[in-house]
Amino acid sequence: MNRKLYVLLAVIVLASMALSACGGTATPTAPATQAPATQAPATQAPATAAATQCAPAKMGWDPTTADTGSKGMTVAFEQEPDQAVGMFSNMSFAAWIWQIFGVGPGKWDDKNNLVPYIATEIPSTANGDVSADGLTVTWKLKPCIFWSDGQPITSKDILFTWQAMMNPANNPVSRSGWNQIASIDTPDDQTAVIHFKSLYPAWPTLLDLGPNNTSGGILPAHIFQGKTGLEKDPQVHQPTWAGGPFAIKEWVAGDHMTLVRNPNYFGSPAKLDYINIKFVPDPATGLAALKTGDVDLVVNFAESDIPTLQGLASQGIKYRVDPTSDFEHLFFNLGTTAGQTINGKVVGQSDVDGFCPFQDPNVRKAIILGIDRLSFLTNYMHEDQSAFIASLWPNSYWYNTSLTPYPYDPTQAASLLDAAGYKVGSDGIRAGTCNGKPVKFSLGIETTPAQFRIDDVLHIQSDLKKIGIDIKPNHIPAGTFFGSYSEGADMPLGKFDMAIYTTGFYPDPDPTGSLDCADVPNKANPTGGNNYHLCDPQVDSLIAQGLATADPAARKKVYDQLQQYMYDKALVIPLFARANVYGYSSKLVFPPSSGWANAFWDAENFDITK
Amino acid sequence: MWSYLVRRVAQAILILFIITMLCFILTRLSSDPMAQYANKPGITAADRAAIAKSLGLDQPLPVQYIRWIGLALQGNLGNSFFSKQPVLTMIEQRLPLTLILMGTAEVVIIIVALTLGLVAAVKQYSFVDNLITSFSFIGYSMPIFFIAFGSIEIFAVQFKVWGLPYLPTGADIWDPKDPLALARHLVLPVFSLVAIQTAGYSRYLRSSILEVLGMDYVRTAHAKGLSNRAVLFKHALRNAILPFVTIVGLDIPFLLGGALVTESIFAWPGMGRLFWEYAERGDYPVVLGVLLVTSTAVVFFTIIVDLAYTIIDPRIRLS
Amino acid sequence: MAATDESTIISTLSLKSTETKQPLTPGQLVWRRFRRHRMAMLGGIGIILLVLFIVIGSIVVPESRANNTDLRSRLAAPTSTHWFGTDSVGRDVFNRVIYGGQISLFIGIFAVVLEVTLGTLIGGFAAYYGGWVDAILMRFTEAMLAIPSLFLLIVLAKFIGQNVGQVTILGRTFSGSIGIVILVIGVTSWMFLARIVRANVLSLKELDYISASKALGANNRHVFFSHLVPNTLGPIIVAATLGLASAILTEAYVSFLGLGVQSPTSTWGNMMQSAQSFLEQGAWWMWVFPSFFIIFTILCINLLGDGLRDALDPRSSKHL
Repeated sequence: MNRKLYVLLAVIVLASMALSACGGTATPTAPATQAPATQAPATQAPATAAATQCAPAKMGWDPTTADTGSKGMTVAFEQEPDQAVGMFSNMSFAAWIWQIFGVGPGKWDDKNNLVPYIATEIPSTANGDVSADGLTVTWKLKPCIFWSDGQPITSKDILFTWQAMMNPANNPVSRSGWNQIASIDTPDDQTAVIHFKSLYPAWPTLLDLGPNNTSGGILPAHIFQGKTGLEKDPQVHQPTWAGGPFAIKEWVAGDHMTLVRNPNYFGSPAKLDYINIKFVPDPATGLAALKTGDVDLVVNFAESDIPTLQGLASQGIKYRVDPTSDFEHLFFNLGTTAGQTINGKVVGQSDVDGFCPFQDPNVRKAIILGIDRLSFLTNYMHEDQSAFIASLWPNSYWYNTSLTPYPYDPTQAASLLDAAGYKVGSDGIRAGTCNGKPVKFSLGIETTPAQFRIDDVLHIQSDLKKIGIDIKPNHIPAGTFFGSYSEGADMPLGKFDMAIYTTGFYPDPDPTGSLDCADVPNKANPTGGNNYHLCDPQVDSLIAQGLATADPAARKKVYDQLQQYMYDKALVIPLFARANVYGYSSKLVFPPSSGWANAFWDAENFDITK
Repeated sequence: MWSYLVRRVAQAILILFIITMLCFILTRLSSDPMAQYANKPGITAADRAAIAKSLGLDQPLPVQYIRWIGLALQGNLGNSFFSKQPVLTMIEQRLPLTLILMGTAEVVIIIVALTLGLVAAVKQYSFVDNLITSFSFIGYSMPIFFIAFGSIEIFAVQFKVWGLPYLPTGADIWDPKDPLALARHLVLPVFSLVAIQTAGYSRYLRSSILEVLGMDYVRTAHAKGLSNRAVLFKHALRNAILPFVTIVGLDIPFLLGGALVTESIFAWPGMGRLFWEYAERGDYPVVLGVLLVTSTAVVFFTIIVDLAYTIIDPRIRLS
Repeated sequence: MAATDESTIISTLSLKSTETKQPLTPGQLVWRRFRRHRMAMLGGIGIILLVLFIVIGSIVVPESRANNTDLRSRLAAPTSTHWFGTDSVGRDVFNRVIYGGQISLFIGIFAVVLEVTLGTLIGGFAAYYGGWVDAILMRFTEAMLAIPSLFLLIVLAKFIGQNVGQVTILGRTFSGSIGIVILVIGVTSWMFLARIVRANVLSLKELDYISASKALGANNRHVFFSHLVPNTLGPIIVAATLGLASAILTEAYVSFLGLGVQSPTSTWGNMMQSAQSFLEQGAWWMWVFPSFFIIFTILCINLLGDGLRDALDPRSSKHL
């Protein structure tokens, strides 16, 4: 056979395929054009106008029939939100959209501070809006502010939101916090006085738009009044109302969502006419779309993609890394069937015992010292050194800055283990006796199959091998790994040695539900969320102290103590703080963001330049 | 005829029952819908208990199944656990776009396969046959994501770098102002599907034409002095195409299921992606709904094809 | 039929067109037809080379070296020390291709063994016993066939493959997910084979020598295993060969969807999958080598299978 001819033909066939695939159908997509010249921003509805002549810019405005306009940005989301209203979804993708069109009295800004949104100021004891006993919080709203349809936003909406959340006929994701409210008074349209049943220091997580909470934002009473089963309501799934700078014009399931500028927004009008959110499930496609200019912003890159994005600078692609208060951590199964006796009551029993040597702080310390966490962080995750952390409250006001992360010190690790009586056997694995029973340091680490976790566990495995600890990785899909007790998942049942995942205690630092004795999952308490099976009277007492005052400075002292204690006892191994990594086109004006505010806290300031 | 039909329909219902039970058990026990509410500080133990209760997950499994099938028999596939939307609505939103993608791909595949199969059969073991064989086998041996990512890199990313008109990567496929947008978005996924799937049909067609060409009546036709061309198109192709049509017919209902991997890569809002995205989160009403709709189509299409076959080919008797 | 991702092109050929079946062709005739198939010969040679590569490679390279991680030399391009470069934790890609190949082929072969066993038994029993056994088995087969194959695969993989830990065999530690992947591929692919076998057995059953051996007092089992199974061997061999290609391909799909063999055990499929995140950082070697081996292997097996079909089963080449 004529080989040359063969190759030649192959080339011709390929070339013709390429041509036929592109010829004809491919027309160049015109770049988003400029000049929203017809718009006249900031001429209407001045907030300073007297309340009597206050009127919305466009009464009865409806986003679904509104014009999209010409200037906009396109964002790629890896997942499609399931609902648009924050209280009814647990997805961060929904929370981000909620930040764009929803409103609350306050919101978190790019410096992780709570700032007023529809309120005039943030309540505090100093300005008298938080009562001396901390039980009453008063929100004062801006006058003359409107929903997108022109109806006024008032304190009645706050009252209604609370009632809707507590109505048993509705199913919001969480009622925690809402159920702490005894009553809400609305003396006038601009004032909501919230009376708590007992001290609730986490009150800023209620109503305010921000990270990591499903209780932020308010609902328009005039839309939902008298309705129940809100979780199924079309106005919750795909609202035609908005309070924020944009409103949802259309949502094509699985494809895209378009938000258009809300003319009745009380703040400065959005600079863009529209935001188009595309749902692009595959990260590689998302990156390709960024390179071709199909999208202007991709919101969820992994930290390990940082070098990739750095390499794209010449193609006009910028990136941003925002440190967050989420952290990746490795932890021990500290469960005991005996539990602890606190005030004469036995609490915190697990169904099974964890690996017995983990009860010894020196063993835990040895494992921390035996893992080169900093090397993985800088060489693999490519994050800043500041992500190398010592406790579970990174990148926040609450972080105890006096702590330095445990260093990598395999020698000290080995001697700690030797001193604890666990010697290296002939097979290179440590063994010994614990509580009279023989134990061997052949341990499982459970985590999800995310690529960076696969590689991190391999790295931990090879580090710990050097100090005589054998690691068996077990990567379990998230749907099973985070499964519940009743479904037989390992973590709540206590059937694991060590595990790795990401979580975060913010914006409120209270770790109740995760670190306290009462939340250790067991037969009697299957929904408990303390996966560490940690029950320590000292931790419990500090958690309680942190909830005994609403004064941030006093709380800070308590949480500093808690972090010091957890550090000394090496109760968990913080691996690194996580970061939000954004890739965006250089023609996008991307307002400042932060780990708490996320990308869209200030959506009206996004802009596109030529 | 009627008794045959009744029996087939009864069998079909039995099959569907087996399918729902099988899928319910597999889906329900495979992914925990509550998993995403774990380890989130704002969500307390009491919240989790309330959510499980509102989704009916606190009931024993048989009760959950009976509830689900009871509603399904009334034409109600329930609501998604997460989006709370009726599953039927969610399927209705995805079905047309899946059919556009899969239908276009199927048509192109058939045209390409017919051409290639015919040429390869007529020139058996020739250079052209070997070339067609190699190319179709290379496509056939590749995972589709290989071709999909490759084509995005070349026809979208690199074409833009080279200043050529480039194709879109995916998502936002529907633009009422620009009907061509849909066509542009179709090119790459259809190209990928065609590249890997043409071999299946073309190889089949090649061998059935070869088989027919070896038959006595074809030789007779040659002996009568008919030209090669006439023999091929009038006799061989017509007879070889009947089983081919059957196969295509039986494949058609599977188009409803969409193409999971292709849809995910090209961000195409189809049924496959719906299935995958909700299966990952353990949303079994959606998963079961998609499975039920597709397999119902398959089962009943099989009966229709069988019936049609008896009408086309009188040699087959129903028994 | 390859269990391709896209469940559309599944040739759900009904039984009637394969009803006429001639007995096994003499070996010589088969060999002659096979030899004429130049592409098939190439495929066969390719497979032999590949197996030699893996066997010799496994002897030369100890497994501990293939598992050795080193973060400082991660993502290194191919050099004289690391022929195929290093991966994201600094392991040698060449070594991992060898050990990944072992597992990929192992999965392929055992998935096919499972497929053939299930398919032959179910199809054979259904045809041989007929009546309600046939009815039940065939309804079950049809139910499995009516679910798009990738959907079935995903649901099954999620069901059995959630949390398996590790197993130690002959001093080597593997992820237990190898067994799961074999099981999932095998259990979702036997249906076509069952129908082929059933159709063949049905037609053979009517042949005189079967009736004769029954009349001579042979019991069911004897007739089934001594006459019926050997005489359907041709189509089974063809289906098994093509099934091997599709099993290896399916392994790559399963890995792509994150349901495949779990770290630290490598397969070509999961190597290719984990390379995706680093492709953009320029680590083409992490992706190119496993991909080449996957495609090369599947291509060779498919060519071989196609030739075998032409040779063994010239009149029923309809099961692609």
